[in-house]
Amino acid sequence: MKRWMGISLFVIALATAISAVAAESDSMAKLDEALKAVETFEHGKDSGPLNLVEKLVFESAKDAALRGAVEQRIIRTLGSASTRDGKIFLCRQLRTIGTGRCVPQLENLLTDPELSHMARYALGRIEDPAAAAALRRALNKTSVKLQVGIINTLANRRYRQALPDFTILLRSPDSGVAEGAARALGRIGGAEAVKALESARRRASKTLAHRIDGALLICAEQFIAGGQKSEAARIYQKFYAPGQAKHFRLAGLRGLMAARGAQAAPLLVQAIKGTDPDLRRSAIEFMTIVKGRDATKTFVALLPSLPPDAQALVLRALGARGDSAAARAVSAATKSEHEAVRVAALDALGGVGDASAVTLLALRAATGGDNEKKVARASLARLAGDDVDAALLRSIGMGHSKMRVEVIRALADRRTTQAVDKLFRAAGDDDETVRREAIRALGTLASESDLRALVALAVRPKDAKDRSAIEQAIAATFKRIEDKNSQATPVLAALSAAPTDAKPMLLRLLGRPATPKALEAIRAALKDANAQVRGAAVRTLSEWPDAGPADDLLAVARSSSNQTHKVLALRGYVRMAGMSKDPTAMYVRAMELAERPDDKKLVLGGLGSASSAEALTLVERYIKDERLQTEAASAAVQIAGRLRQNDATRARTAMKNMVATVNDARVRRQAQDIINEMEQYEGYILAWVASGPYTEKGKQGSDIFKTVFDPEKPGANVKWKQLTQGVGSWDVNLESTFGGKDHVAAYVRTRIWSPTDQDARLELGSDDSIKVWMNGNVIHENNTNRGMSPRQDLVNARLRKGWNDLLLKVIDNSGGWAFCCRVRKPDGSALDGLKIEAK
Amino acid sequence: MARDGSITRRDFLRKGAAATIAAPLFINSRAFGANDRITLAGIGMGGQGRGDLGGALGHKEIQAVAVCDVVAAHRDQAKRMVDSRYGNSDCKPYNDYREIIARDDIDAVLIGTPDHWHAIISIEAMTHGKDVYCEKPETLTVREGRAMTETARRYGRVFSGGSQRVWGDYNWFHRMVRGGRIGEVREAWVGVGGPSGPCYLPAVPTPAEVDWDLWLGPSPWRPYHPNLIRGGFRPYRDYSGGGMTDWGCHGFGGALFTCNLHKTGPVRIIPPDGKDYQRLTYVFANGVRIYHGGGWGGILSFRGADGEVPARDKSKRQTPPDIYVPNYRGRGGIFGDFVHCLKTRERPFRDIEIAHRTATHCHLGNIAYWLKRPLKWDPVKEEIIGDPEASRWLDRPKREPWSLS
Repeated sequence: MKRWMGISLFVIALATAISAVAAESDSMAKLDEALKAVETFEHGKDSGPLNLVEKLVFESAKDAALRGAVEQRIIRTLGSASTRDGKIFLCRQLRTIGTGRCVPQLENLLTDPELSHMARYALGRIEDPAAAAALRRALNKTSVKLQVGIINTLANRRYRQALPDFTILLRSPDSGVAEGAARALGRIGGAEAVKALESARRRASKTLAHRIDGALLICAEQFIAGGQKSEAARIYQKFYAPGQAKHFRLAGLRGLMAARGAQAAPLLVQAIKGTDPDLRRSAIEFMTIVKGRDATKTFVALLPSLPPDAQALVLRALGARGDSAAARAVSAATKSEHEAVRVAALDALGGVGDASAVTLLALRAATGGDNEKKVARASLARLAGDDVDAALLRSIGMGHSKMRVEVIRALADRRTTQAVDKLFRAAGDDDETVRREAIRALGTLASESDLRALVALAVRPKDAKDRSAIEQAIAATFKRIEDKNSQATPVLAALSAAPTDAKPMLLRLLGRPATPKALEAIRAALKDANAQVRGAAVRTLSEWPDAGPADDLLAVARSSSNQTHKVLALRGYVRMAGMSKDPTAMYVRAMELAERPDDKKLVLGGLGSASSAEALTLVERYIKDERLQTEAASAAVQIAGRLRQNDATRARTAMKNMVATVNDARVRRQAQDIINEMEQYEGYILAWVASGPYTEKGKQGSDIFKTVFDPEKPGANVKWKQLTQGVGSWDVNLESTFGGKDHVAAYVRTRIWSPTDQDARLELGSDDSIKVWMNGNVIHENNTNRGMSPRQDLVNARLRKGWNDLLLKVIDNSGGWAFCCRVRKPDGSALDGLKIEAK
Repeated sequence: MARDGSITRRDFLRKGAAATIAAPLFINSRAFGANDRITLAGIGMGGQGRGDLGGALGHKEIQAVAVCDVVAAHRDQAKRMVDSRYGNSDCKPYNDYREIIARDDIDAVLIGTPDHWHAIISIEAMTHGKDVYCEKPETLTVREGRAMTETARRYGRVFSGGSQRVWGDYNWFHRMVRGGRIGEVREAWVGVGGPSGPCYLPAVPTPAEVDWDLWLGPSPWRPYHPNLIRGGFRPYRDYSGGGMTDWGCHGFGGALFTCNLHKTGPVRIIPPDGKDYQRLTYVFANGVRIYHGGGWGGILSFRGADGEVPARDKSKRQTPPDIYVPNYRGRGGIFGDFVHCLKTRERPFRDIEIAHRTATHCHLGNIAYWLKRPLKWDPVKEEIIGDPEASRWLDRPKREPWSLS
């Protein structure tokens, strides 16, 4: 394809094949060629070489020999490159794979105003200590602007050895350098850094003082992480002092909570009760930092003194703390006269409450306002404690119906499977709302062992109106039972003895597992004396998930005296024709039975999904019927669109006829479009079966070309699948089926029917290599690397009378993966009368 | 935990709603001690930034006082927007955001710059006592996100990320899945664009109206190209994580929130290998898998023990249960949530920790894509395990004089 594609192939091959001795190989010279282009690279030039180098760099990190060889060449190129853009690119690559070996070269660039950053870009992330040492050496060799960058990179590395340097630089007359040094000391942390920072702060400008303060806060955090809490507290105490900027006071207060724990809780209380609005509100947010029951009690005691909005915030903070010591106060707050407080308390109760909160929450979920209801339900569902479920189970039969409904809902939300027995009892309750909620909960909780009881409930419910809900619960339970027979068996067992009014529901349920025994039972129900049972059987069969009951439906459509049943059966039959391997015969039978125009339209609609010449012939019969012409013509266009892949002549004839006779302009236009496209892409084969992808680790495309995979082996068991994705008007994109892969092969196969023995010419295009077998003999091979276009390879072939097997192997090296193939006369003119069939 | 280690709905309800101070769908925005109007400055006033600013101007509690952009036309347009809203000419335009940060009379900043500036400006604003609303993707690297989170906590600042879709567009999924409609969630598919790559656009003379050096800021130097200042920066690694972080912060954010995984991270990230893994696959400690691409529901699809959402058969699509899921407070969507939290000092829906976790998820996917190898991730320590070279991608040294904090 392109020059760099060739090199790409090499590079990838290199990545897999190289060993320690490969550095001097001929192939490595090609990598050098790519790097040569990098030497003079400028933005806007061909980036192909850069992409190749980067790809190899990314993939080489785990191969020490390859990584070493590539790094060595990048280092060398960095020395010889003449452009800034090229050098920047090379530094980026060293950032990915660089080791201690590249440090000297990068160190040289640290003082270069144009490249210092990119040298740091690599050195900042190279683990070798030599990288940090090089950065430190450069600290005092650069302009102040570059110095700031080096300070920042050393700071990010937390390079403690540079602490003396930073201490000195903290007093630099350049504000950027001094502020950078302050940041760096903060990152390094420790008593020495704090001492230096505090000392410098006394004489610092406003902006430097601000940086130093930020650095001291970070030092304090490190003290806490290291267990030196008193050191941290000393720093935080200073920042919490009145007169400090608001956010530094907050940092101080928050830090004191972390440093002193529960001892600092009164400070929070003081802040919350204080006059500074920001401090008050933020202090509530900090309540979660302090742990312990004593602190909780301190915060709880605060509640009565606060206005309602503040109470709501404190309650939520108490909920987030999750300490049960707050439960009593939180419960009390659920009775507040202010809705916001009640809602916050109900929410918090979910975090701090236990079994004793069940009644309160259930009651509020049943009777509270909309907001209270939702939050109470959520809290009821998340209440912690082993005895919460037991408390709910005790409550299931207590209180008024609304509350019982909430208890049942909570048991379902909590997935309390122990509730199933009680739920069955509740499903027979006198109160309809309780029954319905219990049935819904059973749909969530029932398991395979409960199915028989659930079916029994469906057969004899407390009220026949419950059956629909029970049916849904059984359907939901089915989803948790993997074995279809286990789903169907309890329903089948109940069917014969079930009262007539329960049978339609049971039949519908049998349609879900759709086992052979279920089908048998529904067939039997077609002969039931009761019309409703028969109707349910027909309806269930018409929605059956496979074509198993097609003949039963056909029989109903033929012989039923009930018009509704006939229509249902016909619809089901047409639906099943769409699933059949030989739909045309079924459509023919369906059309014979279709009496009303609407029925015929239904069949024509289904026929549109067929692809055989027979289907096209059937459809064409109705073109002259004005009532059906639009549907028939539309189906014909759809069929021809597919048939053209196998029988172009027949498809073209049909479409020409359509253009000449059909009234509907839209359909005429569609037919003409198909004709136009066929003429434009005449002879291209679009019907294929495919097998793949085939590849072998470490082999590149040119080797894959030579590798004999199963489809080339006579008698091998190969899985073929119909090629439906990526099929264009003349070409086939294999990536659509097999994904974007490199160094892989796919095989595609089709059959060509010829009316006579004759010479022909295959016109092929491929991306990349292609190999061709006709009737088992190799007639063409081209191990190449290219993008696809039509007629790249012209190959003479002999077609014998009848069916001929055509097999292609298409190999992708990298990039696109596609092919095209058409059959012509040896002189290139059209070859008529062929049929194509991919099986 | 369920027997197989996955999170049950009950576990979610127990941990999820209690894990933050959050929850208040209903609390009145007018908290005690609320001050007068909140003064706001917009930084990064290209198309997205001005869109966000327009939304902010609709909140009566907000008084926009300044705008900033390195492109003169952008800041002029933004100034006109603000002045037109208030009927005066008081809004002050700036080229350099540091002048805005230095102003003591600004309470909050709205950041709409390209991604490579988000962390630096956010952290500078917060260390100067300002609250932050920052467009997504909130970060360019993993380490930036952690630094932003630490800064927000350190100074008690409110930080809201700007993915309005996680709740606004995807709450149907949250309610369906958290409401138990598909049982325990097992898999999610997120249909967003792919990773970013290198930028080799040709050099073009820099127009006088653009401060190109300041636009580049912490990123490696390159010559000017107009695409980059017109919103065309997303395909390039120096400025963005590409589709993976752009719509990824929406889509993955939605999937993580729905699966209640928005405060943790994956333990393995596997790029497509053409064999066992056809798609970039994130594996979580509880067994849940999130895939990049695929699915059947547009941007989001979920499969649980008992079913799928959305249903593949559109005629069977369900109405979600009317359950309580903590989301925005206040009025007016995600920015209203931010305004509410400015007053109450609560953590917003898209708090920086959540934003950082989501962006980290996206960044890790990019690293796996770029390096074409699986990664192991420790979501507690936030470290790549056993692959120091991959760990290099968690951070990038910034061009002088820029740094975090």
